[in-house]
Amino acid sequence: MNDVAVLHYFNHMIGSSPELFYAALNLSDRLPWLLYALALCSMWFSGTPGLLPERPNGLLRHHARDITIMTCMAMPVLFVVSRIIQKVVDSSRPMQQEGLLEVPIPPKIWHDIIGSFHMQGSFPSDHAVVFFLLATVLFSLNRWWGLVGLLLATFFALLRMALGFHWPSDVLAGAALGIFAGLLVMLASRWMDSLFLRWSRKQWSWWLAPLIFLFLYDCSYKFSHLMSLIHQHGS
Amino acid sequence: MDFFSDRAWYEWLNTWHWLLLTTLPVTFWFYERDGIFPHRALAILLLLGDILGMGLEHVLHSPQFYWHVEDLDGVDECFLVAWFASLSLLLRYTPRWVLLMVWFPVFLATNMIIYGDLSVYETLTAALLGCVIGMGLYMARDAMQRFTYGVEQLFLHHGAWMYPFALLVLFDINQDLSLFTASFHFMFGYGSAS
Repeated sequence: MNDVAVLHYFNHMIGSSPELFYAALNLSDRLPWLLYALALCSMWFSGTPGLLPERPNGLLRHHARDITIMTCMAMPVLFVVSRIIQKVVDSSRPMQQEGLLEVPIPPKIWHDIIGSFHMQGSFPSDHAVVFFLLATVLFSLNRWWGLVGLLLATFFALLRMALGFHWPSDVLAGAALGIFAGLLVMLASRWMDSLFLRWSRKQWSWWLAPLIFLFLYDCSYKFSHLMSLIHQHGS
Repeated sequence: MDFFSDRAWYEWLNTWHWLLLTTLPVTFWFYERDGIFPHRALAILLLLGDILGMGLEHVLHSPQFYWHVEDLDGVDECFLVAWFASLSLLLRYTPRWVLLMVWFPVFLATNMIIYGDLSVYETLTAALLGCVIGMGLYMARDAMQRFTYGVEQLFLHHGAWMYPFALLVLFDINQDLSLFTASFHFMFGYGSAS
């Protein structure tokens, strides 16, 4: 099966009815990022406080926080890496090819959505990169959380593919990059000497909480406010 | 953005002021002094004030209630109620901070009246309602100690679930409590703000 056949298969699932298509558009918009922010928050407060776990091989909170900090640091790096690859490869999105997809909504609305992508390249899927990064990292904290994370990451990646935002190969490459980055985060967190414990001993550490709240808030909006600030400053 | 035009500051603040409003309980919750967290009960009351203020505005606005206030009908005063509830609750704890922050809602309210987004009656009703809620919570703080202690314990023992839930509540305050009122409407069949 090639890229186009897989794309058609998933697009046909939602392309047959406008309600389903609108539902897919709404679901793929803010919800995954809202869940992302909630998952990061949950990771931050998971595990046992102190230096002794509740049970053998149990999760310690400062270790969970080290992993959360590293995941948050890895996200912008991965975004930049994905954008660089997108620029270099410069492949067009399926949605930009006329007549390729079943789109049961008015053309004007669809063209507005296409216009919002600023014609950036599609390979790899940056959403898949960060979703699979989180799913991999969640596996290291709790295998059930990891399983749920993996299912959700797959669901949202397929949804974006069905809408024609990405080719199947974009999603696969994004997932591979995200999983690889997640493994690196887990490996790096073993070498780190409790980054969080060292930070939390500082007098100013309580100021981190409002900043983390603002970060999570913007995460739930796909970092759109941060991006618009950067664009405003750059232009 | 042109910050020097007449409406620029008002529009900018009208977009972002809620973020400061929701950062208040977060800051008080995590504020630590000598290894203790002295303001956690206050953070819970602040959040409760926001929810009560915005929720009550929705209820007053709903035409299904006989005490429906005709003029109180939008997002703007919903935030004003929450702002005045928060500030009147904080007044005895941190008067200097309140004095600094009170200019946000006052500036917003004045400009809302000037640009016709709210009438004087709506603005005053919203501010008064907020003050009543805030002062009510302040006076009831001792009676609510068991409640706030219980919530603190929940966060302490079930943080991995409670903190994301609290985050969802804060995000919903940004969304004019739309998820909360929609759930309320779904469960009981009334009370929707729409």
